[in-house]
Amino acid sequence: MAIQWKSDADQALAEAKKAKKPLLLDFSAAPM
Amino acid sequence: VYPNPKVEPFIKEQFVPARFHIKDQQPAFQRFNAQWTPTILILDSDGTERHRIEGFLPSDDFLAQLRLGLAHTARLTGNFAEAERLYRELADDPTAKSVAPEALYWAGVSRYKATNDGAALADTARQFQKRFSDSLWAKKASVWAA
Repeated sequence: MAIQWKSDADQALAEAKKAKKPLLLDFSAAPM
Repeated sequence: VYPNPKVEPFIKEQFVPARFHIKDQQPAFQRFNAQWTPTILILDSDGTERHRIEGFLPSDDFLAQLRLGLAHTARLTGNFAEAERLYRELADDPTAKSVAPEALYWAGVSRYKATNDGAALADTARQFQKRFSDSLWAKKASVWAA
């Protein structure tokens, strides 16, 4: 199954805090 | 490096992943000071940046960087035992050669931080005399030699 990328930084930060997991933020110019 | 049979499962298991495209998500680039693509940031669960990867890497090197980022996150949030474990795995992993000297260095630092025993640093300096002796990290550790 492919990675389910989030596109909202605040939503990702909130989920990471709740799950106590680190975040991976990918800044890209490649086609998505 | 996406999709990749080693990278994708690792990201899904270890991180909350978010992705931003330069064409339509410029505010996120500015917010996190991403000035080149690709840039990968690893943040701890409180949102503090702990590791930055700039530029493309092949999958083995990229995966090693992600693992290094997890180890840095553990160390910089005070989880020194977990950090040392992660760093030593990297230092001994033949697929992670690109980060192995750095991992050995920080493994020694993590041990020292956990124990406050200078012998951890002296032991690391001795290991660098046998491994990765030509690396920048060996030079950094050379001041610890007893």
